[in-house]
Amino acid sequence: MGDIISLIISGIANGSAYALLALGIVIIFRSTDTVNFAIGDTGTLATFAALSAIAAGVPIAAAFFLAIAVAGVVGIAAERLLIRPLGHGQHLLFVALVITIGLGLVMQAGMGAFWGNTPKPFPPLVPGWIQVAGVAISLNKIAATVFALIAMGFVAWFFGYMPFGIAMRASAEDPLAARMLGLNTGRIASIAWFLGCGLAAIAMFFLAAESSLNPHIAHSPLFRAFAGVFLGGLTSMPGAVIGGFAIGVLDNIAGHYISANYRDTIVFTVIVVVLFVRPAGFLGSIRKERV
Amino acid sequence: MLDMTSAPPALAAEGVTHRYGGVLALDGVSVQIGTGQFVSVLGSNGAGKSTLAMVLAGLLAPSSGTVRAGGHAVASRGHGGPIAGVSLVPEGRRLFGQLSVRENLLLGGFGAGASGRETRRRLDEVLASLPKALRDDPGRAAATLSGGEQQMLAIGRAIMAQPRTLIIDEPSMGLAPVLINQVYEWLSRLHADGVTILLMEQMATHAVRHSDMMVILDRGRVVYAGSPQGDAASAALISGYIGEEAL
Amino acid sequence: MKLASNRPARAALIALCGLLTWLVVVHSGLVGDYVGFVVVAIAYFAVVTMAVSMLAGYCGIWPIGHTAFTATGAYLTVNLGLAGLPIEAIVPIAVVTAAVIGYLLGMTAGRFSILYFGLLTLALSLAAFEVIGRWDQFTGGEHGIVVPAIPSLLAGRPIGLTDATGFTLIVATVAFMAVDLVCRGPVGRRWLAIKSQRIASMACGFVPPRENATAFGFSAGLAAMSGCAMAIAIGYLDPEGFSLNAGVTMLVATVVGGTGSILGAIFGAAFIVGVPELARGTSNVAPFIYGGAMILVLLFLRKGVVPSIIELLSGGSRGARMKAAGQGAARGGDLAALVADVLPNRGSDLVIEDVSVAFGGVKALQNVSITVPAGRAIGLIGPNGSGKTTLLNVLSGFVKPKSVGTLKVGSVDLQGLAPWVRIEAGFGRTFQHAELFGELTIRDALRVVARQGRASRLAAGRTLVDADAVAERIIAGLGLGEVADSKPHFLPFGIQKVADIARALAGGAGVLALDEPFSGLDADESAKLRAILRELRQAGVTILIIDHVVHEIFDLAESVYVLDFGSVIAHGTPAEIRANPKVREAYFGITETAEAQHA
Repeated sequence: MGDIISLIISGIANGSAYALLALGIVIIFRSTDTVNFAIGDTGTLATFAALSAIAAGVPIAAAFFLAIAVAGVVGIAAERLLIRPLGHGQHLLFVALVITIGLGLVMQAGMGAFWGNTPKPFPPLVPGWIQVAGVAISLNKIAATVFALIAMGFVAWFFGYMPFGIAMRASAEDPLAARMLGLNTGRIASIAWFLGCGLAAIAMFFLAAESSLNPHIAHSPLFRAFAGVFLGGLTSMPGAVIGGFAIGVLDNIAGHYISANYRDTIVFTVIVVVLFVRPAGFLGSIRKERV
Repeated sequence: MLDMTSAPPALAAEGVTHRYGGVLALDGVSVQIGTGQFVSVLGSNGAGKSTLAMVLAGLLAPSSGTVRAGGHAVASRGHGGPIAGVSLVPEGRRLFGQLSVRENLLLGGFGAGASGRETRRRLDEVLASLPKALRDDPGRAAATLSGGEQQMLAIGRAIMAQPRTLIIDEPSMGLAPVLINQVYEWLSRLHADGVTILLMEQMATHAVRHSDMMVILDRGRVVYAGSPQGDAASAALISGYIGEEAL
Repeated sequence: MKLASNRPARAALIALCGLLTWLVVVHSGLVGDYVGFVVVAIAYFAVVTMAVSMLAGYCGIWPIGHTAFTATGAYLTVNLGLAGLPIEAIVPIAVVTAAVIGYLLGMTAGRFSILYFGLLTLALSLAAFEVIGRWDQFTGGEHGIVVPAIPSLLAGRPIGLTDATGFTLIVATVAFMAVDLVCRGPVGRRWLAIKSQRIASMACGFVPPRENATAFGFSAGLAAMSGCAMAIAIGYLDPEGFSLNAGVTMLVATVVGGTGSILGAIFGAAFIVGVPELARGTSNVAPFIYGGAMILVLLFLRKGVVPSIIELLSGGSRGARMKAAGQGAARGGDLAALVADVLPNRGSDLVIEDVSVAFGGVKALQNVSITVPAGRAIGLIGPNGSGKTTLLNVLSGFVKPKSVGTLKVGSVDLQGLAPWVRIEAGFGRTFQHAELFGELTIRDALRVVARQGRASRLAAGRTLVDADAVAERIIAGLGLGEVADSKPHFLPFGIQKVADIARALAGGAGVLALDEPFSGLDADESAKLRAILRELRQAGVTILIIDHVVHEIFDLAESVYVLDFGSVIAHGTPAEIRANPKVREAYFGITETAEAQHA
């Protein structure tokens, strides 16, 4: 019993990163129909920038916010320069997706060239460990979870109450109607990419502090975030968050009870089963194709 | 008093032609909507009314021809927003179904660039003129509203921008007669308050009763423009719908 | 131009190219070992690139992790070889295994959206990579595994590294011939049809989920072939060769070379083999170039390098020809003979009784009953939003009704039938916006649709059975000859609408539901269409025509139903309908008082 509780607690802590990435993926997809494969690398890049800032004497807390800003600006630039010129249309879903894969490649290579491919130690925002329900958990993980929840709370508030957030939901539902009201769809896309990539930066910042920082660190968490998105549905923000946390817990439990060697495979199997049972995920809806 | 003859028209289309791919939707359309007028554009479906509405609202750049608002040529802004001071209630209403009544209204003000406080003020004002069911529960998702309520909300959302000209496309579509009356009563009130109204309609009855001027479109062309009353109007109306040869 | 349509000649050409390459590399003495090695690498990468590229080009699906299937091929080669099986047995086993896995996965993802295919393959490749790293007995785990000499029946001895060139070129040649055979034929056309119009393709009898899964299985099989060749050619399997990065590299090759093209796949493979070879010594340049090339090509040469070049070489003249193909030719022969020749299901009636549909709480249709007697034309009118399109979608099987009394074409009950089997029952439809298959010429589209109706034509004893002959007959009969080799996008809308009717006829529709055939047409186009519909009606085709252009309906239909708020409010001859005050009120919005006012 104690086992399972500790597994769940650390699973939730791990899941916070997946949930943040998944939320970022969904926000960007809803606003621009782009599945952003570079979102993890954008977060990694921002975390490298934070590392350089810390090395230059910037306090860790300030570097944290710097990372968010860097990721957000890179996201805006990516959308403006690479996605927007493509135009609109259902057939461009994959073109946009493949472009972000290309962007991810360039970013990884760039980080490797600039900062090197060897893992770099990354300082935690809050060092130390505490005991929770008999398990030792790093304060970094606790902080990660807390910041993830704060960020999610902010996202919920932003989309629920801020005119811009409401406009973003409206634009996701019917972009032409949004344009008819004079809502600036270009700016909405920029904000979505800023938010999505900013959330990824938070996730990568804490993941780096958990182990170390290297250009390829985003691979595995991004995969789990996608698994979370599958569970929750590609268009549901709460679905993505719940899916991300669920994958964290599932990953932990499966790793413990079934096999630590086949974690990815187990996660994959779950995705396939979920798709069989509920093609749109548990909270998502099958969206009509946009014209 | 405003001199109607010398003031530039609120909206004008000059030789507007528009094609979607190979489909000719508008074929050299010229119309003038005078400031303060109530103009109805009638025609059967596919006559080009919705396209004309989009073009006059500045939301669609026509293939050729020009649009003027208040005497100034409107740059083609196919992907931009509506012309300042012009609001469109689109065909099919296009409410944001997952958003609440309140949020739908709020976006009307936000999209037009009104400040937060101003938007809230207008929100109270517009809510007051909406049906009771909407007033009482502005948190309801728009998708759950009835057709009549949706149409009223769509007008309300457009009014939130405080337009000088309101373009409304097929307000009576799918509505029962009693609800259509409500919609037209509201349009008359707005007109009385000085808003220029441009109405695109398939249903002639109400439109004819309320307008100062009637335009009939048939397959993208203006076949009649003038008084909504009289024999010429009546004949044009019937032939615009059923086709002369059929009668 | 000839070559493009002659499949045996193309197959021979591919085989010849394979043979020539082999002669040059192995026997000419012109190339050294290093170049030979590069050529072999290009060959096996070209095969897997083709697997990715064919899915992207013909189905619009971008698989991100095809490495799982190359791994299947490669590791099966090693293990079955160790078990003593000959390579001639191993390759088919590997192909079938991968194809079955691919098909099953395809059925999972294909039920929803092509986007999920892409994401699912990503997950698959990560899972496969993990399994490869851990399953020591099968893969040698992280240390990799040496490929043993594999017995070969044809060679009469075990084959290994020294036979790599020949083996790889044989595999590549066979793979390309298979791709050409499948994709240039009816199957490929079906895939293109589904890719360009998923909904309309269902009405023509195609089954998108199944076709997508089949394509995915085929592609997985090709990837496994590449894996077999890879195993023999490299002689040692390292898990890194099947990582996500390797999968992404295949995407790079696909994007750079251009989708759906064999030359493109070879060019792309040469790119991903060549870049690291040329950049040898400078670390980590390749990913930069890969990523950069991918972005630049997608932004500026959307179709990829090879198709763009081909288009440039042959494009100018074609564009001009397309414009010249103006209003379409005069029609040859009368439609009665055509209908008698090609339609298996003439003379069925269409019976709709008590159909109700609700969306959420909104009643879209309430107890609608409409009968179209065999060989008659019946009109359906009603204001926007009255439920006409919903009724058509019920007939097509796109919308599930809440309750149905009867829904029959002739003696066939349509209830519960999937959208794609309804054409077999003789029910065909057209679309308001024509929805033609954008990536196929009119002729190719008609041919591939006509294949669907082959069995029923045979059963009905029609004189014309062969699909191509049926297509030609319809092209001539409807006067589409001049435009038959054009893709629909640039054709005038009137011709597109005629082609839409042609498509339904090719499928064998003896009962036609027409969705706003006259909307968006000018007077000339309307006149032509009117003449065609009249003749079809006289030839015994059952027609339900839905339109807003009321006078056209009054002209064609002998009886008209009026729908308002989801209910039939009137039914009668055009004259009766025109005089019916309820209709005038609901549809035209002309009340007697309003008219009195004008009078």
